[in-house]
Amino acid sequence: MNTLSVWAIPLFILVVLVCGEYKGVKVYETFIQGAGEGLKTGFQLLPYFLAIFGALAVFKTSGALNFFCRMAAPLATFLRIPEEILPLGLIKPLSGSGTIGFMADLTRKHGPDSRLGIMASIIAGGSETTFYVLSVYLGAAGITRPKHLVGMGLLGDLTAFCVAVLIAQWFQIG
Amino acid sequence: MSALNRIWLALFFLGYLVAGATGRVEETTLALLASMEDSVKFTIGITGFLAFWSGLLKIAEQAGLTQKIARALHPLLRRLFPRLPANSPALGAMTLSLAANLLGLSHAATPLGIKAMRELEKINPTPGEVSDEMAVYLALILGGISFVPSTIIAVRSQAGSVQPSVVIIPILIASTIGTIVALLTHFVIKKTRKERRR
Repeated sequence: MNTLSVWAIPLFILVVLVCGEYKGVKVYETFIQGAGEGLKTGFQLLPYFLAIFGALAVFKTSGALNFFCRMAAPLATFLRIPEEILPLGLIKPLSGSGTIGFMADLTRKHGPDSRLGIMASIIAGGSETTFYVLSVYLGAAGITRPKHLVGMGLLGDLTAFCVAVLIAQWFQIG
Repeated sequence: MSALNRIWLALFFLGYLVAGATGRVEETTLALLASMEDSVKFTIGITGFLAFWSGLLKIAEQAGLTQKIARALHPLLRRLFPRLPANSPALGAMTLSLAANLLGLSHAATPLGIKAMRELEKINPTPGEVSDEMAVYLALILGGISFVPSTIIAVRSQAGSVQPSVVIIPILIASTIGTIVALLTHFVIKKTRKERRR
């Protein structure tokens, strides 16, 4: 599983470059143009990081997070998951950038290759932002009542969350 | 998104409430100030990877990789949407948008998805309400299956991971199982509704 993951990026790069060359795409110029656009996307994340890192800094340093974790500890122990991961599961269906900010905070605090860091990474990537997608996509078609779709999306999120926790439990780096 | 507004406000409000009660107001504000510089540094850190990846994806797009993946997805999607004819514009739009999502082309994916939803609404037997096809399509989108979760990898690498891409396959497994569960949820609900109507 690890070898396959490690080879995903190099394989993707090589396939794209070879296909591009074969199809007559000016690979270098196109790359420059796309990278310029990507630069914008990256910096567009900054306001979200400011908001999330700022709020988390206040919430953590004040001791409020400790308090919250102590309250959530029985539930987390019951579910056999680390209590730090619970807030990530709550924010996941609400905000994509918020999730990335939260996951970044967890990976930096506990280490990206720690069990918690791996868990946070899989959860953050394991599903789409349910409420955002539903509001944009249904809004585009002029549909106001989502019917059972919210429940459907949240059940998918919950499933991905559980799978992420399970995988991270027996996952080993190296 | 009002829930998000409330959560964000609560983090500051509860944070400073506890800080006031425990006498850590000064420290808390210092941490807040430090987080600002931190956010900028962090953004710069991950932007390099994101820009590189975006350049690569542009090549993929121009080489017609989206269309190629769309063609590979077509047989699978025909089974999921048995009521739609093979050459229907709605099916075409959905396949393209799902291919863009698989490739991680976030710029292209949303406009394509919106187009797919509008095409689906045109052939909706119950206009203004969620159709079966929309539910199945959104289950696939919400599952969020993607070959390379580039933002996650950028964040991991910036946080000092020795193997940033090691989570690719686990993410693929989690999102695939999540998608299957969402699809099953829809089919089960649809079935129970039909039975109730009888």
